[in-house]
Amino acid sequence: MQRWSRTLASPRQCETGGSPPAIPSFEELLKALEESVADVLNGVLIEFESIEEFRDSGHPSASGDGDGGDIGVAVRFDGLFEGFVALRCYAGAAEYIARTLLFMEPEDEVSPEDVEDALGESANLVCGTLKCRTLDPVDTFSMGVPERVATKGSGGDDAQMAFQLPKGIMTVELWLQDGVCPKGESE
Amino acid sequence: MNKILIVDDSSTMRKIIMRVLRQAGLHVEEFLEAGNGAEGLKSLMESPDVELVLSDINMPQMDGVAFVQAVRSKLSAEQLPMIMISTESGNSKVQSALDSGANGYVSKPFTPDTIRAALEPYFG
Repeated sequence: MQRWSRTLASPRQCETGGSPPAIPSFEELLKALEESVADVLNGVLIEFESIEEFRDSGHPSASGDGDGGDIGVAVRFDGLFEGFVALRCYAGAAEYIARTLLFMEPEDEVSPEDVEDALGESANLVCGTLKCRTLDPVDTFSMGVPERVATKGSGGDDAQMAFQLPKGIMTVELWLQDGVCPKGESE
Repeated sequence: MNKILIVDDSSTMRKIIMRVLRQAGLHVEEFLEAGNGAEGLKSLMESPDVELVLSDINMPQMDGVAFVQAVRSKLSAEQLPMIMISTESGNSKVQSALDSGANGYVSKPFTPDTIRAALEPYFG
């Protein structure tokens, strides 16, 4: 069974033969993730504001009551690390992303499929951008297709960063497989 | 332009590309879609009148670089322009695609303006 964590195994736990690829710290990965989200939102012209110190912001989704929003998607990746990026949104923010990303006209009706597709593609873009920034130094990276993930009851308190969009909040998480080492090395 | 082939393993991204072309004012009569390079090659064999190819780079089965190489073994960059669309900006795979004969590259995500700037020359 896979175990997921919010920290990296120390490179010292890996018996490395030869020169291992440079391993970013978890904080560096989070910073790269935040920049990747900003790149994607800027790229599709979605106005946003990072919510500083989200966990202490008093927002309901940061209160640890398990309310992670209305829709969530995740994209798994495998390369230097194995893990996944998850985006969770409240309905208003998710619909706003769908309208913007899918270039919909104001009179167009947004279907639940449109919302899921758009959020999934957003997760794809974020993960792809993160890959280019930091996750693929040995060019072995692969990404899965976006998957729906649980929201309510699964932990808004898991969010590591949050973004205020015009119609609501989007939270973002990065999870890595526990005890992960660079590919090709053994623990 | 009469016919464009869009190659991307994400059906959502294919839909986005079709819509952004319309928003950019680039008129296309017919779109063909493929989920990877192998499907793209099949589409080109079945529809030799495709005038422009827009292709992702990271795809299963046959990626964008292999797809460009396969197409360029038959058709020159003048005969069939190919534009890569990917998040791979600055990556070696983008350079590989360009070295293999891709005509250009557009970074994902994109806006109607960036798409227009990259593709307008091919719309005469």
